[in-house]
Amino acid sequence: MFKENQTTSETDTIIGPSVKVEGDFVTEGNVIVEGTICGTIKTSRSLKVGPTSKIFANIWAENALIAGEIQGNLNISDKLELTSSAKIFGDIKTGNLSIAPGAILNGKCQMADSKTKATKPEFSKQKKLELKPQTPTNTEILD
Amino acid sequence: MYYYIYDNYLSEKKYNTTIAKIESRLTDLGINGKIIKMSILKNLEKTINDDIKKGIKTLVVVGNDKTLNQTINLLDNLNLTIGLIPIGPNNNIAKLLGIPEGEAACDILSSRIIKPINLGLINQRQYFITYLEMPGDGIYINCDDNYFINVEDKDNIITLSNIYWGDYENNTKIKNNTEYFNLIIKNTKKTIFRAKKEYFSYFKAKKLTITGEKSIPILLIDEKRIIKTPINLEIAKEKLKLIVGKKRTLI
Repeated sequence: MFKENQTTSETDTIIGPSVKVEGDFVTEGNVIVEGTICGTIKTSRSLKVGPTSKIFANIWAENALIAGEIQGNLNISDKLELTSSAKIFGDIKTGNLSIAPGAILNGKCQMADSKTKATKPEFSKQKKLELKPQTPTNTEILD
Repeated sequence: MYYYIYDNYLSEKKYNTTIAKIESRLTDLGINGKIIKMSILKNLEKTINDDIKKGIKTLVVVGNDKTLNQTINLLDNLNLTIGLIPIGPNNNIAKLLGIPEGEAACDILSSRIIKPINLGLINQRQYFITYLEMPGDGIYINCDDNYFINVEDKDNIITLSNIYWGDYENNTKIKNNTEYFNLIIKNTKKTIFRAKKEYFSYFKAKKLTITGEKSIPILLIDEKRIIKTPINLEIAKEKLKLIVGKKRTLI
């Protein structure tokens, strides 16, 4: 995941605020977005979206730290972090999710596999318990 | 057989002693050969290519970065080994290749460590070794036929490097076998009261097409050229066989 003040040498792509990218952006390295993207973003590593950026794209990444606006679906295999300035208008599918107070999320959220879901016990086959309210005995009243 | 191309500026008096020492050292090492001197008045392209056809295997450029760049663009084919004897200023390529200036470069030539390096190719015609620069206002860049970069703001400078120059300044090892261009877009935002801010965009791409205005001025190793759009840029893999030194930073 991206750390604060990460150097550019560890990052393969930086989309700065003066630049607008259109199309299928596919890479195998870390990506930092500060500008605008329309299309799709696919990276096998981490994605960092800055607070000034606007993304109109579906995203596939391993990890993502979002501080800007995204209009599209996110498919993050590991960790997704939404900061307080993040705005998501789309569905999310992720392994781990962290949302800061103030972040906006408008869309469905799906986490982990369906295998991790607990199995529902078969209640219908069990004997129903008779739950009658217990009336106090005469001796208890006298006391 | 060795073939030497001297740059025009070496005819200045101050280089006479250095040239004499180099020629003496080359004779001692037994690698002396025919010498051709570049001149504004002479068209050397035909002379050099005719001589190469006669069986020259090693061509040595005596000069600086600009001389080397001009020479590789004069040659019809690059199937020969190229050496470099750096003299005077603007010899950054020699530093990358671990070639010392002047007489000491002759020993590197004789040791013949050959390294094939990638070249940048402009419009299937012109090669460049290191990088080129161009103004980036209102330019549209197609990268690998997958995505477009639209450079909208003013005050942009685009640097496209085959060998990433910034790494050289940081004194780190530079890779040349990546098959990727490094595309850097520098945007400077000027403000009246605050200090100007610089923003960088950084991309990697194998193939680029630049479209925009009718023609774009390109700065290529101190040499300004105006090239009509669209400009196609690609990597010519291991195109140039260069004689390098042991202390090279290019890996």
